[in-house]
Amino acid sequence: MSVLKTEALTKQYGRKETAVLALENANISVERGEFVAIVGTSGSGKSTLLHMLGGLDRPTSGKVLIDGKDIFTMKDEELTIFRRRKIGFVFQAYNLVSTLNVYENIVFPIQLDGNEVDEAFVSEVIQMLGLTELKDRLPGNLSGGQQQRVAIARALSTKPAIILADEPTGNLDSRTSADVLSLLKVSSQKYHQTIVMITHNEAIAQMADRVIRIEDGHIVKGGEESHE
Amino acid sequence: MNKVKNQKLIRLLAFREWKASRRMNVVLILSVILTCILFTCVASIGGNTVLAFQEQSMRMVGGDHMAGFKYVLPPLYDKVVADPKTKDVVYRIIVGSGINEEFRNIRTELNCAGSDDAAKACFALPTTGRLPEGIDEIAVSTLILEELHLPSELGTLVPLKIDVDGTVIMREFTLCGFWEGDGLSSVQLGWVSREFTDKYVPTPSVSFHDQKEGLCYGGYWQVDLNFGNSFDIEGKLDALLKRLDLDGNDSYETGVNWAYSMSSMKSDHESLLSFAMIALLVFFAGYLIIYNIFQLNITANIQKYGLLKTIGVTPTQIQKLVRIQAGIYAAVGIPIGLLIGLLLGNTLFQYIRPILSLHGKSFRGFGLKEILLICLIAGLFSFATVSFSVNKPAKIAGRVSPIEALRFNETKITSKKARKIRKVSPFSVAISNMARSRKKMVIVILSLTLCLVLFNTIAIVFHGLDMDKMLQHLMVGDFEVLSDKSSTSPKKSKILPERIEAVRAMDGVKDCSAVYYVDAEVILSGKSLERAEELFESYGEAEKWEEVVENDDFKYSEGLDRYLTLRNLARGAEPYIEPGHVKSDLYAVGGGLLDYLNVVEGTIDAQKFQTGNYAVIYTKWIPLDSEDKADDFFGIGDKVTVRVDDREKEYEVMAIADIPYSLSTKSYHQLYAHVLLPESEYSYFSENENAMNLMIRAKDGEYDRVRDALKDMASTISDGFLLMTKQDYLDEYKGLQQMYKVVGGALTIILGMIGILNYVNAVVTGMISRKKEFVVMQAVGMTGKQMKEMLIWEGATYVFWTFLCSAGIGSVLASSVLKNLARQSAFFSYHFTIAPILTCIPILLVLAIVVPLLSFRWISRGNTVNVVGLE
Repeated sequence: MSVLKTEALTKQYGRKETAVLALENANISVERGEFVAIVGTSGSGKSTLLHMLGGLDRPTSGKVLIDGKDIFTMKDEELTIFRRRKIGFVFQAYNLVSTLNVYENIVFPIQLDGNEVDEAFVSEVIQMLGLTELKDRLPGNLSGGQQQRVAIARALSTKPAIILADEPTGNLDSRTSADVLSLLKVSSQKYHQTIVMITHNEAIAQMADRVIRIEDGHIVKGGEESHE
Repeated sequence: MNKVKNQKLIRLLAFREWKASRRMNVVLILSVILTCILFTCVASIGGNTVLAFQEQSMRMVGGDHMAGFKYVLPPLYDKVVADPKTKDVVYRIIVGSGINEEFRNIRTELNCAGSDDAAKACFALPTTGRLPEGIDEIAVSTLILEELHLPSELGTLVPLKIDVDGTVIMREFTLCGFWEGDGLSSVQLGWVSREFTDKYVPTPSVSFHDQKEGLCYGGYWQVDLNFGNSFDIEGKLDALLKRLDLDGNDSYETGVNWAYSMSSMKSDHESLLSFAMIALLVFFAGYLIIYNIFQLNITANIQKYGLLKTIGVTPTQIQKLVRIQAGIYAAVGIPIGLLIGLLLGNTLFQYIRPILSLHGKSFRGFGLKEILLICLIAGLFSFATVSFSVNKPAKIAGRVSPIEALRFNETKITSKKARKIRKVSPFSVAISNMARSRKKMVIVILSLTLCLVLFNTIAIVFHGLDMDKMLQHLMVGDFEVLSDKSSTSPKKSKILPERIEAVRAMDGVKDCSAVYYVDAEVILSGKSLERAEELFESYGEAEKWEEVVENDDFKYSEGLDRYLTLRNLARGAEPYIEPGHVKSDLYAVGGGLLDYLNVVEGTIDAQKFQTGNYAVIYTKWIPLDSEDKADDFFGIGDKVTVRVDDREKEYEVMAIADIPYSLSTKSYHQLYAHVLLPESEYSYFSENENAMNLMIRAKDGEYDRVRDALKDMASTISDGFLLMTKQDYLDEYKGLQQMYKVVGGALTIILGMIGILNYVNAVVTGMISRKKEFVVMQAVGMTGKQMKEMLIWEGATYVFWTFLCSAGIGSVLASSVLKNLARQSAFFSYHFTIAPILTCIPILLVLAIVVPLLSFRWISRGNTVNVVGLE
């Protein structure tokens, strides 16, 4: 069974004459442990798709199933808790909490759940991402690559089943990009995590196991049984 | 367990965020402090007022204990002491009253105090010396000594005539203690020793109500007591009676000190209401600013909340975060506000006290208990305001969609395109910016309007303080000489004819008009009787009085007089006074006074008046259930018959006009008539040659001279020549003005600060939240100059709307509420103006220009990369 599956996922912005279909009738399915890249041009609907996969945005119609559970049947509060347990996000803009230091940012989602921090695991992640020296720094004092590594560490810290990454290397130079990506890949393999990553960089997309191509709100390739 | 832990985390985050936003903190804490100051001021002024009223009532009652038993025997005292719920039980033994001839103006009671506390409870503990011990010793108030023309010195011999239930005891006592007497108190006390009491006024053997022949008071005990608190004293007293097995026993008379009951404040429910209104206003003002700031704060930080949500912070946790931050602001702001508010409130109260006519000679002010209570109330109110204000912003923050944080980039791009196409002008951008955040605009304009309207109102009141109107109520002419200060026995005419002559002979006196007085009756007949009866029926007074009498609520003889008068009037029965007769005040007045009459109808022809054929009359009827005075009985040209004892004379009504209040008897009946006749007519009705009051006018420029002469004269006369000068009232008026200035000024300043703070905050947060937008605009070629121009336009729009709103609301308020107030107030006349609002507009305009420019400079200090980059 696929860990992540969408059924006829549609998102429409605006109404009537001004209506814009950002995503129409998208059907994809991702297996456990898979590394999938979603590619498409700017405005093709890939971010919309990712946001809905993570439950950040609600679809106009259609379903998102994670481990077979329709996530949009959940209330806001419930969905948030579900998300922070099951899904790790990595954003282009890092989205770190500026007032918390590196370590605090990383363990933040764990503590939000009120759980004890698994120190051994967290320090392993920190070490793997090369953040040991930076543990006490505030995000403002870090370079872009460093910040993104913190964001990845944060995404990994709750041991989520799925990591959703939205242009994780969009703000990084190519060398740093490669470093960050391989770290992401290595770590996900190590912890048997599923990765869905958005990018418009074909070279980066080639690192994935499978590439889903999206154009004008339609899945044109790689979404498994996509209906045009 | 989990919950506890993540709460700790949220708290940590709240503190971190709090620390990170210093500027916003200062603004927010300031607003909390201001709100708290306002609440504390209101609470402490209100509290002070209640306390002062209470103390004044206690002094009038003559005791500070909550309840008491009257005319009891010693065993009851022991029982009350033994009761577990009573406190501070004291007793005094009734001896008699002092009846020396010198005690004409005061009532003097002699008692034996059970202890120092008993004397203290009556505000009559000797401050010099002690309570009497020997049979010849006595302690009295200084007012008694004054009346006896004795010095306040221990050892002074005090000759007293004491009436003990009809038996007169004359004795010379030695003064062993005294204290300053209180003019407010209805009775002046003196203490004699137990030895004296036991010898002359032994404890009776039968209880008070079992006395067979006539009632004797001497020897019975008055027992006063306190309960744990002053809540529902009557209920507690009933419970005590039950415990003592005395309920249903009529032979115990009990009393509750009405100074404790709220009913003593009833007469002042208007001030209570105004305190409630002010509290509401403060709440509203505080809400406006705190809500506004939080709201803007959240708008500015919307991305942050979105971000937190993507990480997995739930809506509830975000709400909690915002609330904790609000809590921090409250925790820092409220204590500071309380402290400043208490100091300010106490200072302001000193100015307010005179207007409430609380002439406490030694108002004790707040104790620790009261201060704590005020802090509690004001603190709670402030906290409630903060929590209430943060409610909606917190919910909004909780509802922020997580993609808000991510979407920001996209909107930026689209807006960039749009601007490129449109070719902006600073003005058009300003207008569209304003329209976009209409709600914010409304709130800012509302809070500015609130303070402008208040300022305008205070200015109108201040400007409208009318010296003539006030003085007219208090006195007419330059000087008045009264027979007596007391208004309880006003009908004494003590100003001797030779003294009037002496005044008239003084250099610089232009006019000295006398007012003579005698009790009289006005006989209604013909038209006036018909009118009176019509009115009586139409008001349905007959039944009402019937009811009052039947319910037996009606015990006061004065009221009974009125009742009989009225019933006689209606039915022509009962010969108390004859039907159609109205008790009235007859004033014979000197010609000079005619200038000062309050004419309702008709004109006064001084020459015609002096012929003695005419009367000026004023009748009023105060209906039972309302204070509105109802109509006159007489019309111009009616005949009126005036009777004093068996002398009767008929006059023609020349005008409907009343004598100035200050020269009247100052007492009114339910139904009354004032008849004014020329001086010459007085001798027909009365043999008394003394005048009741004098009204004196000085020639131009001779005021000081006349004043000095009158003062000299007054100082040599001990009785029946009480001089009131215009200057005294002017001084008092100055105090009043001062009070308005200080209180009004303080209120306006605080509200003004709130308004301005609100505006500044709106502008600053508006800019923070639009930081990126500015950069975009700059990127598309909007120059700094154009940007500033746009900001100025925005500020000007605020000012424009504020002006419209405040001028509108201010005018409506002034022409309705204030106009009405002026009609009721004795010293306030209404002049419409919105000039104060107009004068504020330029100041606001300057602010509207300076504030955006300064904050723009502050914002553009950050470089473009910083501004464009997220976090």
